[in-house]
Formats: sequence, structure tokens, C-alpha cells
Amino acid sequence: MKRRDALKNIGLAAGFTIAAPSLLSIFQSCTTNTETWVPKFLTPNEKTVLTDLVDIILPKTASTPAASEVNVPQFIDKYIDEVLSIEDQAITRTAFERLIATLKPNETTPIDQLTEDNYTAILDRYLLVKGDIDIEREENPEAKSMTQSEFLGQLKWLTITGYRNSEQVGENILVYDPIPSAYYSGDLQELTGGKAYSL
Amino acid sequence: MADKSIIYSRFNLESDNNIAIKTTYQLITKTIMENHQFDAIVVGTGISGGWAAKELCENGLKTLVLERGRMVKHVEDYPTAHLDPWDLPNGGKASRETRERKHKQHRTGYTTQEARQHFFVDDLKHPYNEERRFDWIRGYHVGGRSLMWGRQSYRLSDVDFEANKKDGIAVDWPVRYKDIEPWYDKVEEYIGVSGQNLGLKHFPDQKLLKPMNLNCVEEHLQEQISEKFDDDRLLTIGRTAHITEGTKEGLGRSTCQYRDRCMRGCPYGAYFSSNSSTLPAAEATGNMTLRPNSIVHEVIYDEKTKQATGVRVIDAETKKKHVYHAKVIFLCASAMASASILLQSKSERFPNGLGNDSGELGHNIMDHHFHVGAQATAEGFDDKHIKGRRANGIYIPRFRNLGGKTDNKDFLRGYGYQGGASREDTSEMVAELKYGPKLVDAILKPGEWNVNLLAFGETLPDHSNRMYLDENKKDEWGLPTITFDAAFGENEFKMRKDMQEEAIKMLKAAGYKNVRGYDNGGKAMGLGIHEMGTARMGKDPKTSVLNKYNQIHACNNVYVTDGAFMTSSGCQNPSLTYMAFTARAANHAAKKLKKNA
Repeated sequence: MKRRDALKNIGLAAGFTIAAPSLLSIFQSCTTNTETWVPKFLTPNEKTVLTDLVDIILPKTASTPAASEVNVPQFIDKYIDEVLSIEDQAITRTAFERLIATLKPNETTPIDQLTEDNYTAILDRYLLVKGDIDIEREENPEAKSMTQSEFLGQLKWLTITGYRNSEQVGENILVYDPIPSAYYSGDLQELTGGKAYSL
Repeated sequence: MADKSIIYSRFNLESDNNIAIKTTYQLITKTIMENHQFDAIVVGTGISGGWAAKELCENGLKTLVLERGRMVKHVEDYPTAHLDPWDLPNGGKASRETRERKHKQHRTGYTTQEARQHFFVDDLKHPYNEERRFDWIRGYHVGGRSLMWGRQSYRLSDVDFEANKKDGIAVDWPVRYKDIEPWYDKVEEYIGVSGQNLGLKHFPDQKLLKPMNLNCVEEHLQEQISEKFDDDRLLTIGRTAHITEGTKEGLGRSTCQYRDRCMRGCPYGAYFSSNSSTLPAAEATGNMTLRPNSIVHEVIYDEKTKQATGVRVIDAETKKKHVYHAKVIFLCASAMASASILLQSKSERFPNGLGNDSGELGHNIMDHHFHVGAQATAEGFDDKHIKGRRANGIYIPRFRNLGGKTDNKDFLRGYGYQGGASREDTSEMVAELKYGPKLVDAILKPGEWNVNLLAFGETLPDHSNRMYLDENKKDEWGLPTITFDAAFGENEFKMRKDMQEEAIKMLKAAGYKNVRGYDNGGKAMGLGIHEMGTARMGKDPKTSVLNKYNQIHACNNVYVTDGAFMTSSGCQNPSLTYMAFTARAANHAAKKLKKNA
């Protein structure tokens, strides 16, 4: 019970002190926050696009930080660099190039002038949800390259993984129970207040 | 009785300090150099080696314990035991470099994760060859796989010990349940096994600590299975080598904290490992000399006395060669490694490897076949969740081919199910949302209850399933490498159909949704990490390698007590059986030595 109260309090405090910002201000805050970070894999353009994109996928809310605030872009850059095979890195690079080309209203648009609408238009069109069909894949089932939908799906998955595996979310947003010392089932609300565990 | 805690803490103190370890190590090495004669030599420090060391030392035998890998000290050499996902690179995912260096270990999908990969071998450094694919998953360090094992602990019964004879398959076991029962009792009481006794003949009762809890969905499934099936099948909590109440002897062993980080080494000593339990007990006697980095490659046979006199060792680090002598030798290096050592031990009397009169050495490889079963979604439990992470699941003991309506004419033997129910980490809404605050909400909420029944089936012994040595492909110590040539057979594939069908039936009978069967096709042996059978026991030296006390028939001061001795595989996780047979064999050896002294 005490833990649940503590969790509620965390949520409440965060909710009062941090007003929900507009998307535009998120973009601004992100670019400043991440300016000092030098990616290992991503090009400067890819870095900008990824940072914008993860904050549209998981934006700041009244009680939770935006993806970029918990270093999701850094997580994804490192993940591509250290976990993906060399072959998959090349596929990712090509997919990024294609995504950026699709995002830009025209070839000369500078990358830092992409708008929220540019991003959501692409996500609305290409990011698939349960039951959707990937037409590009159906047309070319054997292609080794990723379709736009597969790549955006991959980025969504990496964003969620990076977010849930961050210290801030793992210890303060999700229910953190490093040494449970017992195992039993019980009421969801009593055990976690409806939240998921981080471990 | 000496105050063991003092001796244990000395064991710990020595290892607390690198200089102290070095000095101790040099001291041990010096003693060894001066006196290469021991009462007993144990090769390997895993599940079996630890037990052999403990029992031999406690019987007063000066015992040299040889381990090919590095030292791993309880608790302090578990570097990842307390790390959270954000403390590990990439959330703990296996890195590309790890996957490349440990490409065969990676076939499990879980052994190369960052938190545990340091306990699994580097496949580039320790290569093996495959005529037919074989997944040989292992660790080279003190403690062996007792550090990373699955901990499920079940006894074989007479249904298993009599099976080969009844079916006319391979050879009969030279023992029966009554011979092993007291040794099962002994090891269970020492290591601590939790679970529930059910009083079934084919699934013997054990010396158990209090069972872990089933969760609400598992309790529901338990009721449904008992209600809807009339062949006496039932669901129980897994029996696992975790302390669930009180403590056990060893290097500070206490109750399970439900963290589910066992494979990293347990800082609470809650599950049994050689490092926390048997090796400290052996050390406490003052009779054990433990020598890591010692690759045993040959047992020396004396043509005159018709006995083994010692072992040849290559130091893994310096590559220097050493010879150690003893009156009795225990091979506990794992089924494959022990067979490999025997195959390398050639003499005039044994041109095809020590103890290989039968031609069965290296043959009859068995592993349990699995990755078949069914999954489903349990609805109606959304307002429930669990506290804790239980490193254990459910168990549905074998219910096939036990007589009467349980008999199945398509295949011999049977299988059990493991698995259980758990809630997904994130809401199923994640798959239905693209982006935005609702998605944030969905990734912070628990998802559906998923139920999994994963079958583990018995594999029949088959002479054509074998490993042998490739003398042309040497490792960096100049030793021949192992080539595997084995696969699951017709009986296993027929059994798999039933394993999937019955899992589907049970989940449907329980009323769960989205029931889906699965079967990876039984691709290759090894993934069960239950290698068995390469030096089987039997009554007849013409058809088996070991006698009923795990002694090589024609060289009876060599005992093999790892998975190599298994005459049939059962469908139960085998480590507990290795422990019981090892303890029995070690006491047999000690009694024999005392009589001759």
C-alpha cells in the first residue's frame, strides 16, 4: 500500500510542476538537450530526425517524460552500433535515407525545418497497427531491404524498449521492485496501482 | 565437528584479495609440484564434480579437483548479479561482438545476453565440429553449469529404470529406483529442493521444502485440468533447487528473494550451485586442492595393474603439461568432455579409448526434445497481477504410456510440460496505437495473461547418435576437437505431435482464447542442455561402458558420473540424478579405498 501511495505522489507531483508542453517546444528543447551528444552510428541528419520522431511516438505527458528526455535517441544509436549486424546496419542506413527523403516536402527543405505535420503524415501513412497489411512487402516479399512500414515499426519498438529500459522510467515511472522476496498473485490496483513492473 | 563457518569464511577471505589468492594459488601449485600424489582426482567442478569433491573429501580422501576454466568465487565473481537493465549496455541485449564470438552459444537465444554471457564459452576459442548440427552450450569456469542450470529437480522412477528392458531398447539399466532412492534423499536434503509431493509411483515423492506459489491463472488451469481429463494428469508447481524456507549448509545460503536473476549467480546463495554449496563443503575438510585452468586430456592407464594411475593436464594459461596421480579418478567433466577424455586415453589395452571395449563410448547421445507445445491468452484476470519474479514454473508430470488409457500406440515413453502463466510487460494496445500519449499509457500498463505449456520429451538411445574426435582439427592446446553427428529420431517426432495436441487440448479445455500450438521441428539436439549417454551404464561390458556403480567395467578405479552414464533419458531434468549417482559412486569408491588401505 505504501508503495502505491508513493507512486501516486510521484505522479501527482510531476503533474503539478510540469505543464504539458506543445509539440513545438518539445522539438526546441530536444535539439538543445541533445546538441552535445555525438552519435556513433547516426549522421547529423539521422540524429535530428530520430530525436524528433521518438518524441512524437512517446511525447511528454503530465506525468511522464518525453522519449528524448530519457535518452532514447542515444539508446537507439548505440543499439544500432553495437547490437545490429553489419548487414542490418547497412539496411538501416538505406531505410533512414529513404525515410528522410519521404519526410521532406521537397529536396531543398533543411532537416531542422521539418514540422510536426511532416512527421505525423508519414507515421499515419506508413506505421502499421495490428491487422494492417504492408503493401510494399506484399509487392516484394523477397526484398532484403526494409519497407518504410517495417523501418518505422522497428523504430517504434526500439523507442519503447529504450524508454522502458531507462533508469528514470524504470525506477520512477514503472513499478520498481528489485528484491521482491516473495511471489504471489493479488489485486492489480493494490499491487501496482494498475502500472506495469520495470523488471 | 569443526566450526565450518570459520573455514568457510577463510575460503572467502582468501578470495577477497587478489594478492591473497595469488599467494594461495602459488602455495597450492607449489604443494602440487612437490607432491603429485593424491587419493582421488575429480575432473570438473559442475553439478557432478562438486558432489564428487564433497563426498570424497568428507570421506577423508586427499582430493585434487581439476577445472579447465577460470576460478569463480561465490558472490564476488557474480559481477552482474545486481545490475538493472539500465546498468547494462543496450538493455542487456547480446552485442554483435558477443554473438560473433559465441555464435553457437547464441543458438539458445538467451545465453549470450549481456548479464550472463561471461559464463558461456567463446566458440572461437573452443571450437567443435558438426556433421549434423548439435548445440553444445556450456561454461568453462569453477562451478560449471551448476551456476547457470535450470534448477528443475525431479527423480527418475522405476518406470524409467525399467523402460529399456520392457521395450527392448538399447540396454537395461543396471540399477533400480530402490538403489538410488537413499541418495536422492541425501542430495535433496543437502541442496534444498522446493515443491509439492503428490504420491505418484511414476513421479516419486522427494525431500521437499515448501512449494512456491502458483499464480491465479495457473491455479485456474490446475483445477480445469483435474476436472476435464479422466487420465489422472495433473498440474503442480515446479520442483526447483531453491531454498524456500530456512537455510542450507554452504557458503551463506539463504532463501530465495524472487528476483529471477539466477543465471548470473545468486548473491543470496538461494539456489544450489557447486560454488555456494559442495565446493565450500569440500574445502572445509582441508582435503581438497582445487586447481582451475587445468585441462585434463588423458587418463593414464597402467597395463600391469590394469588400473588408471593418474591424469595428464595442460595448464590452460601457461600451456605447461603436468601429470597428477591418484588411486581413484572421477570424470565429471560433462557427458561430451568426459567421453572426449576417455577417447583420447589410448593404450595397448584400450586402442579405441579407455573403457571402450563395447564400442559404445561417445555413442547413444541423448538430449530432451522440446520447443513444442501451445500458448493461449487467459481472459478474466485483468484485475489481477503478481508480486515477485518466480524463477520457476508449473509442471505437468508425464501422463503417457503408464498403462491403461494412458497408453499411446504411436510412440514409446512420454513427456512432461513446463511453463506457466504470466502477464505481458506492456498492454496489448501497444500493437494498435501508432504514437502519442495513449501509446505512452499503453507501454506503462501490464498486458494480457499469456499461458504457455512447453513439453520436454524423452529421447531414445540410438547408437548412430554419436560424437567422435577429429585429430586433424586441433584446438589452441593441440588437443583434438569433438565432432557431433546426432539427431532426434522417429519416436521423438511421433511424440511431438502428441505433445502439441495435448497442450492445445488442455488450454482449450480450460476455456482460454487464441490457443495456438507451436513446434520448432526438433531441429537439432543440444538446446535442452541435457547431454547424456556417451558412456552408458549396463550389466554387460560388451554393450556398455560403466557398471552399476559408474565404474568403467575393465578399469574400475575410473568412475564417470556426469550425464555420460545415462542409459536412458527419461523426460525429467537430469541434474538431480547426476548428483544422486555421483554421491553414491563417491561413497562406493571411498569405501573400497578404505577396505584396501
